[in-house]
Amino acid sequence: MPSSDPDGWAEWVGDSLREHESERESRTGDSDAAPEALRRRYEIREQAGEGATSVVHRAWDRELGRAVALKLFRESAGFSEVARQRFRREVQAAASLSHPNVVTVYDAGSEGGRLYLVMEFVDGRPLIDRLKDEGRSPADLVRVLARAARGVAAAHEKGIVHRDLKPANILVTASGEAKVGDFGLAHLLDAASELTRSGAALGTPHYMAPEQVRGRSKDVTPRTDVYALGAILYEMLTGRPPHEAADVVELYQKIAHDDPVPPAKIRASIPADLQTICLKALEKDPDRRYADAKAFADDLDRHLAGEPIFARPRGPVARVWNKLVRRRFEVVAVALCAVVVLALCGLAGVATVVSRRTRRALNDYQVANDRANALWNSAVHMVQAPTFDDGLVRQLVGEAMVSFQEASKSLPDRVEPWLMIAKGRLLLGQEDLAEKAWKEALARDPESFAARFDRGKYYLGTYASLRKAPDMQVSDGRVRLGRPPPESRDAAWWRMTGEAELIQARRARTVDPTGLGYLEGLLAYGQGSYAAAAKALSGYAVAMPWDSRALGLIGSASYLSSDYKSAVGYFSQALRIEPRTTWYKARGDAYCCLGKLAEAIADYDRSLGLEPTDVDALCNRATALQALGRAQEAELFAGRAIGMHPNLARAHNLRGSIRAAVKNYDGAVEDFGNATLHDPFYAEAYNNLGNVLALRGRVDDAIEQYDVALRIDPEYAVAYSNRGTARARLGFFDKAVEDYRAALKREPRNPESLFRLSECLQALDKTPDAISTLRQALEAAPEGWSRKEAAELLLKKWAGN
Amino acid sequence: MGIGDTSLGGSGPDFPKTAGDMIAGARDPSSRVRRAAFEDLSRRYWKPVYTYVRLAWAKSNEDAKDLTQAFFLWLLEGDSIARYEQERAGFRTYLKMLLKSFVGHQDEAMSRLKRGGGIRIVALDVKDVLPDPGAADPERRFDQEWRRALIQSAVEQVRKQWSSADRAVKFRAFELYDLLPPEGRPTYSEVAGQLGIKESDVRNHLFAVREAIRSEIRKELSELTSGPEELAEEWNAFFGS
Repeated sequence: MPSSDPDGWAEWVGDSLREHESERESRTGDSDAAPEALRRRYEIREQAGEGATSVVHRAWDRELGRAVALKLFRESAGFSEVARQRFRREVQAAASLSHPNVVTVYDAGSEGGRLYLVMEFVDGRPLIDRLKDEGRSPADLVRVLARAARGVAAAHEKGIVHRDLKPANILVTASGEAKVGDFGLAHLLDAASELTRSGAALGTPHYMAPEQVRGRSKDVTPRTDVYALGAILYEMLTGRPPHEAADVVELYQKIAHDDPVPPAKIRASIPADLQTICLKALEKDPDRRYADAKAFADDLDRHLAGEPIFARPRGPVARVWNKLVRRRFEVVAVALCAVVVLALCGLAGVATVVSRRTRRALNDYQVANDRANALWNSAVHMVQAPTFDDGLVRQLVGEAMVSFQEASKSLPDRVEPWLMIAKGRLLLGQEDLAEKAWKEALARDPESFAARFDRGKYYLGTYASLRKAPDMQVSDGRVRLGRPPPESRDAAWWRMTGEAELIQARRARTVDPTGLGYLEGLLAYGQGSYAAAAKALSGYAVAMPWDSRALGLIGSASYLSSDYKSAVGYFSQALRIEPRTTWYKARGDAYCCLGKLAEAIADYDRSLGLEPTDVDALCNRATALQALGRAQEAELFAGRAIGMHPNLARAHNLRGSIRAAVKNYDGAVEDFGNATLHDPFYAEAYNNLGNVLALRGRVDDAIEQYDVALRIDPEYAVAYSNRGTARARLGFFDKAVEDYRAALKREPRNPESLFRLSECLQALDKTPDAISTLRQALEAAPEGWSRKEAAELLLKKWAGN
Repeated sequence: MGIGDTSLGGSGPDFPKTAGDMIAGARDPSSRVRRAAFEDLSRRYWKPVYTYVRLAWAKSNEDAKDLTQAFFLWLLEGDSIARYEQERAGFRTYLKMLLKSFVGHQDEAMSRLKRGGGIRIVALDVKDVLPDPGAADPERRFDQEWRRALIQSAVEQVRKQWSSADRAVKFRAFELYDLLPPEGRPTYSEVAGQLGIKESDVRNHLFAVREAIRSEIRKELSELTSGPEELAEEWNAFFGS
């Protein structure tokens, strides 16, 4: 091997990979190579379809001489061993199905770690395509659905439930024959975990029944399939599924609780009988639906034959009554449960006959539990003091957990010890052990609100903390929030796992509204709805005054929704528990927004006291000084920031702005130039540089800078406006108009832009437009707008002509 | 020669996690995590950076090494990496832009390095490896070295993943074949003999390992590009005709 380049091997590997690329393409014709063993028996022809977790090929079975469809699951799908076993069992059952309306399964298995399915090849299109076809008579579609339902009925007879019926897995041949496929595959996708880990991989849940949405897999019966058939029928009749929503969480809510709009309300031509069949299949309560697909198919056929159907429509009164009864039943059920639990605890004083051993266990449990709680409470108490010994607190928590574990041994069914253990583990930073503890808790009580809440708090809390708040910008004396950053994949994962917990929490037995509000608040915070977040979170702060992290979060939410007074309050509370630079800075920012600059500077200094090189504190302090009119000091501070972080573009940009404000244009140009050197993508710096150049009369150069800024950030409204001004100065009024319009598109009622636009329009002799634009400017202007008089004068002048 | 001998710019520990992790680490509030991420970064990309600097600036090996050091130090101290937004631009493009702008002000850069006391992030152990500094286009060479670095990283990942008993032999077959220059390669049957397996197995193992490497490269590229179009472009640059 030549010694001149020890990394040359990468070149050779690159060559091999290039050859490999062409080889694999010729082997399989798609991006997922079929395992060797399968290729020996089946000649892969072409790709027939693709999903998130699988690819379907048309193939030829060499052994039996027939066309087949080979469905290969991607290796990356990462199915667990349990899921695979279930797959094998279910598919074996499905393979026993033989019916003209069912896609026959010939073979299934696992090859090279990848699951596969060999099925009858159906030359047809999925029903979903048919639904989009024009010129298909509704009766045709209903006929097709009735046949599909017969296929499903055959499966029900054998005790097989499809679980994942949707238009995509009903194939329709050219002659109108329907074939249902993919029986039992829903087992591969376990509701909460797979859904949240792979994001939207499952596809639309529009056809999921309420009991499926609730995650109650034991309640899935043939009636679940009936619901799906009803949903498909609904879509056939009205053109949309029974429920639609902006996101999955909302959709689940609607499926579980809302009644669908009766189809005839959407399309008056729908026959009453069809509507009845449809709504019966879509009943929330499975017992009120058709018992199985056969009953559904029978009624459909009766309708198609013009005969009376068996289902009876339910009147509006009955529907409302049902809803009330449903709700009341839930409340009653909760009350019952509470009594039962109390009775078991022996705390309600209900006389029960208990064996001596049970009494002894109960006693041991009480002792251990009491001890654990005492230790835990001491720890909590310590944490609320202004200063505390971190090591001692951890020790107390550790011992508390040991006691909780003892308690659990005495009464293994109890959930509470595990909840406390999870809390303790989180405190000690042992997050995977916390997860284990929650699993234990939920194993004992799957409907425990507390477990869902704690875990949801952890997930959504992490989500909220990952969602960096958008930049604050100060311009025209107003503080504006920049756009929130796009959600990273990490953050999305935390959000989805958290949302799943939130859904489960809502369905728990005894829901605590404050806790629920807290979870919803966390979610809202991460999604940028700060006002809603602050509101939802505040109830929690009252209940848990020692949770400094929560307080800090509510402070941020208040700040971001412009409630600066509350923000100061919350940060102060948080800081009393735990002095942190983040919160000092945040409180300082809030003081700034309240105009209390002296207090703000004091807070920045406190933050700098804890961390002297914190660039945020330095920069904000400089800004505060500038706002106080102490420009020289501000410049010095900004200079300090630059000195400590010479490569930080933001610091240069800041000093440039300060210098520009005191008309030190040369200095400003230098600073902005440095900012762009250190960060070539810093749109704001280019914009600022443009501004200063324009002030110096170098308008052409200024336009160049605005061009760059806009190339980097095509949504930068202010840059458009500035460029418009520059162009107008050079007499290019029509271009200026374009720019102002672009600015207004992004910031519709900006009075400055409107004013300048009107001037340009007037210069172009478009007086009527100019006048109306100027009027809009005056309407949109805030109190005491500096240009108000000028605008009014102009208006008079133009209107007078 | 074994793969372990290849000096990738330092006696650092395990090869890094994914590129995405590295970029995320650069934004981490903890300075320890940030430093580790930047060590990662410099280990991965010192070669393309060095190559560019050497060709674009046309100085000696020593000066080029110094400037490479200065560049990574500059990245560590600034927030350019933290400001990187994947949706806007591919990482290769971004890094190249930063580098160009940095080299354009190299005198300043060098004086900054001296002021910084010459803290070394990574022990560069590069001999004079450029065969013909005068003839090549610095940008093209940067891209070339970048792609090599990507392949190296992918191979390392697969090596780590395929270290268990049943898969190690497959990777070994790959090592014995693909990691040698085309003129110096053994035949399949020679490799089979060395490992005590069948010749048809050799072919299959090579296919499997190349598949795995391909998959790693794809994963890595998806974390370093701004979207499907750019991913397709980069992919073509790697594998296109």
